[in-house]
Amino acid sequence: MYGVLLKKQFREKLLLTGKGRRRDIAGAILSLVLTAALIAVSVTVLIRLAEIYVTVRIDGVSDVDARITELMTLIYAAIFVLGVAGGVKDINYELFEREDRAILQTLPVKATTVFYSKLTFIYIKQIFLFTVTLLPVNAALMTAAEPTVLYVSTSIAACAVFPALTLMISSVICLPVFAVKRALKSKYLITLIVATAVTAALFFCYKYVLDFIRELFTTGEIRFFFNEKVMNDIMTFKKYAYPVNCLAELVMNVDPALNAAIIALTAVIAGATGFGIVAVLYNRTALLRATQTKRVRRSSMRFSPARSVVAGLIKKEFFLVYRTPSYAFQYFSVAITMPLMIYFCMNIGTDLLKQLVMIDASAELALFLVLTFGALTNTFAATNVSRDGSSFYILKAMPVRPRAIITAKVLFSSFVALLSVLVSAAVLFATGFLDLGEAAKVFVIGSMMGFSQIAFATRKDLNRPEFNSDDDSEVRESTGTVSLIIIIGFLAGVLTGGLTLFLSVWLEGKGIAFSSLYADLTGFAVAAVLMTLSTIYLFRGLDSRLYQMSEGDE
Amino acid sequence: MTSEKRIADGSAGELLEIRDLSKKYVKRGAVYAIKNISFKAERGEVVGLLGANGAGKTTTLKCITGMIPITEGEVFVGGYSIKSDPVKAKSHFSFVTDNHSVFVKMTGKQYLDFMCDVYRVPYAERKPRYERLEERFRLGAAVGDVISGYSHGMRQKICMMGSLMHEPELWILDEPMLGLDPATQSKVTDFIRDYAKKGNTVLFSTHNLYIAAEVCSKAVIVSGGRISRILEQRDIDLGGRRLIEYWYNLGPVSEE
Repeated sequence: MYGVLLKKQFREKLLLTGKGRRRDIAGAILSLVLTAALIAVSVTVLIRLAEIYVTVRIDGVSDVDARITELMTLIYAAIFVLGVAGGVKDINYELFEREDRAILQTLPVKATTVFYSKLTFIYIKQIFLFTVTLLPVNAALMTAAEPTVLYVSTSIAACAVFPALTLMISSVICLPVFAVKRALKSKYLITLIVATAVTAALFFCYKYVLDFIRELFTTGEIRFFFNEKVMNDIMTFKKYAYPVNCLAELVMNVDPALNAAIIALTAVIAGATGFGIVAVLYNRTALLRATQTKRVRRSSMRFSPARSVVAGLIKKEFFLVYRTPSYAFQYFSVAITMPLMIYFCMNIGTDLLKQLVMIDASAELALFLVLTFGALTNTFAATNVSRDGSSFYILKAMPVRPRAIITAKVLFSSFVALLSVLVSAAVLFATGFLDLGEAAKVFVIGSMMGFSQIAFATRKDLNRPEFNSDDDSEVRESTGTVSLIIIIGFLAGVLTGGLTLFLSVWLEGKGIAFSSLYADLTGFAVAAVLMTLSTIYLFRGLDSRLYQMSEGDE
Repeated sequence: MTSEKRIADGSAGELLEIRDLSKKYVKRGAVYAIKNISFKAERGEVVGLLGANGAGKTTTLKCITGMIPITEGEVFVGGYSIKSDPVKAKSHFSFVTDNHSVFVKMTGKQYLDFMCDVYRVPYAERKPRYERLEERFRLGAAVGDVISGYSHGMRQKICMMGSLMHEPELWILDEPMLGLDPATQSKVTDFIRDYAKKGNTVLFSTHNLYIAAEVCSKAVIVSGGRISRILEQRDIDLGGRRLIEYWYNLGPVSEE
């Protein structure tokens, strides 16, 4: 029975991306390209970092193996945390969200068997995660270390051992995490604030990582970062970062027998504990879900003043987004934190530009950044129709013009897009990167491009919506339109922003007067053309398109 | 097809006219789900659309309400074509789907507000209408909760309340009794009867013959996507006997 259930898990996973669903080829290619690019960049950075780090001397003594072990411990710890987070997410999904639970509970199958099959599937997923993270890391560090047979074999074995360790931690903390999530579920505003704060903090860390990488590649001064205090902290961390330090030492052939024994014992205990805890939880949560009741609040029935149909529809969009944490994050948090990201990149970009081409093209760079980041945040509009789920069809039975339905969606998306562009321009003006005229230009062109992308994405989604049939209708999988819009939006942003940047630098290099003005006018013209075309595309044949929508029979 | 109002003001009695309505599903082997459906519903009538599972009741209702495109034929509501004048036609009716499709992220109150905005219910009218509906449906304080937390019955109630806020001339319901307990079924049945008495028209689908016999003034029996028989009041009145008789002898019946 265990094998049958495991096979079911694999089949369902393959169906999600295979024949049973509309193929998202663009999304698959994008994911592969991004993963490959991320691995390539990480390996390059790591090789450079390892080159510098192994030269650090402690008390005047160089010890390459010790430095590599420390570096390895640090990176393994980061991967370990990622693995635990992924494990918690997957286990909680299986425990609390997966729709097959109700069916499986009625079948003559032990609950433990069901969950062992699910946990095995999660374990196999984690092996894949560690294979694409651990192996490139060890391959990069091999350039500084002396590779041995043990190094290679333990690197491979670690990919199977690591998931057992992470799943144990995940199984212990998954229930408290779920409790917090459930407590926050109806606290929409708190969730939004927490998500925004966490995102901003991540961007802040990202800024430091970017600064670090810039130092690493431009000046090589980074070795001075590893002073006595920092090295002491690193060594202390390495000493206590159990069990990842044992794994790093095993790979580096330090006390191999002892470390192998510790790791093996930990893996066995961890695996058994993990499987045991989760199997018990599975039974308990099944009952928990079945007996959950909802608290009923008192409410005064006071109607709001009458609104226009479009205003009513915008309000509907707002509640849908505000009360779905993943949408709220995409819509509000990302847009709120976008200006922060632009500011950080502007900080680094202006310096690099001055060093590389000796020209101050801050306004063009700002435009380039606003368009590029805007392209990513505006992909929210690529599910403008799919988000409604099957309830979209009840709008068809209401006396509402298709133009009103779509206008409400576009206006709702545009509001936050324009606001984030406005805040970005204001931040760059306030911090002295741009003067008022330049900030206004960035706002106007950025808004026009943002609107174009939203209009295009909305119509694309209307042409091929992917409605979720679940009760809450939430779009959980990225749709083909999302992938396409990311690619097109990113290219349009890069090309338009890049074109103005290039023109400004090139014309100024040629000594042509008003070079910046010509570049800006070109950017404005491109944005105006794109906005016109996308608006025509949005509304062309809209009535007919909406009339023809037929619950999957088109 | 002209977009002019076909019937002067609907006062002639016919609020709904369906002529040779057909729907072909392309992806399901290009078969007709319904074929040549024709019937009329007059003001004050309660029309039951009866048929077994898969007979084509839901498809018929979805075509009438414009939720899915019509392959052939025409639907007029209040004299307006659902194809060429959809907004005007739709402003005459409201539809309660069988799966109680509703915007689940709104609270009940917000949903009612939304329906009032869409159907342009004057502000002053909203509260009295809500109070009248609340008296019948008894949603209580739950109206302030987010709909995603509602039970099946509560969701059914909020859908019905939302659909009635603009007091539609034609109230269309798909399997309204499904999943309701007998007491609530009885309340809904009473409400349907009372609503029609005020001069409105109710069209609902069901496969519950007893409820149909109790409340319908006209029964349209659908079988295999075609109308098998249209029974008028006198046929239904006999304690539902003839209705049951026809039901068990389904199949295209030649006109008497």
